Amino acid sequence: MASTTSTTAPGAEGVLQFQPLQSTVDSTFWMELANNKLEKYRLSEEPCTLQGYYTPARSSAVSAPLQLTSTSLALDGDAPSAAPGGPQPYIAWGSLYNVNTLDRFKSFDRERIMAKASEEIWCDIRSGAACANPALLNRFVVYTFADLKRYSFYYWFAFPALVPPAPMRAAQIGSLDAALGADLAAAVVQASESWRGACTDATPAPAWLVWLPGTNRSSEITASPLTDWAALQERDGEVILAFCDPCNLPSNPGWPLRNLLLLAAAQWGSRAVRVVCAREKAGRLDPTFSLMVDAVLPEVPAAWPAAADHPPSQEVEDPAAVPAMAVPKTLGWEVNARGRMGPRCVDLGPTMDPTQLATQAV
Amino acid sequence: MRGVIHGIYKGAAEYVLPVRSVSAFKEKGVLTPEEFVEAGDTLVATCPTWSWQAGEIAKQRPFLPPDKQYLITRNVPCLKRASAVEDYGGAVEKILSGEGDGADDEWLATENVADESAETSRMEGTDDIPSMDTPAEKAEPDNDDDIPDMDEFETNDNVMEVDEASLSTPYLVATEPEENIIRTRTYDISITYDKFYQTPRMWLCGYDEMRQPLAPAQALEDVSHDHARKTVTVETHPHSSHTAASIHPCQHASVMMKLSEMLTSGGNEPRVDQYLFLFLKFIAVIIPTIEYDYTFAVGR
Repeated sequence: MASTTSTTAPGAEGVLQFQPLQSTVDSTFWMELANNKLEKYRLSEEPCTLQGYYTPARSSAVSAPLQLTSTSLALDGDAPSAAPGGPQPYIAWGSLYNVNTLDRFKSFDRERIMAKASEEIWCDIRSGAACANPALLNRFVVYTFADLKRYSFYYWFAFPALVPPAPMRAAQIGSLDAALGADLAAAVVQASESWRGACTDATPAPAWLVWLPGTNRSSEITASPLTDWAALQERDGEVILAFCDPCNLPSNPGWPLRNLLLLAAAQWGSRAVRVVCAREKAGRLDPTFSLMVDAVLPEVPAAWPAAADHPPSQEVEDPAAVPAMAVPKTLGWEVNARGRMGPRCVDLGPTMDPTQLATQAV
Repeated sequence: MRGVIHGIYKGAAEYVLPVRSVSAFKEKGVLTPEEFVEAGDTLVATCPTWSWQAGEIAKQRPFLPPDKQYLITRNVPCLKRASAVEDYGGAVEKILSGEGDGADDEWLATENVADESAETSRMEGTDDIPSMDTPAEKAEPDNDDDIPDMDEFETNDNVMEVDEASLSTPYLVATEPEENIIRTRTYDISITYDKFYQTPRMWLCGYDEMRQPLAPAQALEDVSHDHARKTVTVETHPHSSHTAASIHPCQHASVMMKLSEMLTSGGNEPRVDQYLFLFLKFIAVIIPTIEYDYTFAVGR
């Protein structure tokens, strides 16, 4: 049940808190990884490209995870083939670092891969590439060790989020139809839905803009890509940021909004922005389940972060790992199954080990 | 072992038997592959949470379009274990059997017997299931010596990233009763076409609340206990190489026929493109706590 009442965050402008993404790895992914390890990568520890899939939240009971399946590895960077029918899942690009031994896994330099991913995200924000392709904001990294003898897989995901100079705050958080009124909310959802429907790319943009005209608001609401921001500012009306929200909570937006809001602050100089957190019911965007967040953003100077601000916590041995430009501090390592900072382990013996399967089949 | 022999027999039979080409939806409750695709298209159009999948190329069935091999819906919540709502399952089954005319005694009789002995089998149920669980559990002690405790990995220098903008209790909402949260599982549900039985067949892949995969046998806890030991089996998924819990389709056709008879007697003409809606309604009896979209009205 999505709350239809508007809830104000504690304190008139509480710190906006984001629900971290969760990883869900299909066992078909591990099988594919095991095959690739034996036949393709062999002893190579070179990173390879992954595609993870996520959808808007579809149930008030659970958030939508970032999912890896057997097709996550298959294309190695090429555009995925579109599955027929229904909206496509959104794609997040990831880097997979598969190491050869458990010792290598334990001593893995995870700061380095995090720094690399966050540098890419920050460059894409500053260069404007992320505006044209918002999926670039949702990059993730994962490092793995595949113990093929025991069908055990060790892994640790990170969903890098760049930390802004000061926390983002929320003036108001509530359901979309409570914030806008039922008619206007329905029109916003309708415009967003047709924007999604018109998008024929196999990789749909996970964020877009909704423009509300200054007068006669419900009549000509349109949705357009993020690159239209400057043009829309010159028209009479209001521009709302919208994104596909995997979070199910009535009081918080999901993790992908973090980098998106940093983009709004750094690239557009926005100090306040209204955001639609688009969520679905029965496969279609829903105005009561979707949220409206009035976000207050910190100022991001053009020179931020200065190179001196940047705390290179890692004592760098590899000069290639030093970022070419100053990058904001980044976080986003996923907690393990016990809710602590640490990698996860999955034992697929019961579904993959021929000996165990034979015992089960009796 | 019976299951293995049956599996070999079924595989061999599927190899030699022709694909059904004549529609017998109303007479026998079965589907041709074309009708399966048609019903699947309707399901995907009406509930976009479902989507077609191609599956592994090597395992594609030639009688289905390459990009429409099976249907899947992911991340379906399951808040409670089936044992918590058993009575609900029993009640619905009685409605089904009310229309019985003897043509389908075996299926319905199972329900009735199970219904009467619900108390006793509920007690037994938990004991019986571990027979399938055992291999999964046994694996752990074996591995314990070699697999390091995950404790070792929880490094203290980076205990928790300090960040006021991260929701610190991300998945556990304090307003909900605790047992509710701990038990929330999610399922990836897929529907394949079973050539031997000429009906759709449902597969369940579960994850616990921390999104760690469940052993296939654990999915039995989310199956109505009347069905857990009989109707639901753990087998290799036909379109990918892993094992999953599956609702055995041997009685699907007769139940589907009965459901469409009920529709007809209610004055609605059953349509073949709505087959999967009916199917999902009937499957909901077997997996009462898995909340996929099946609430669409049929026959309007």
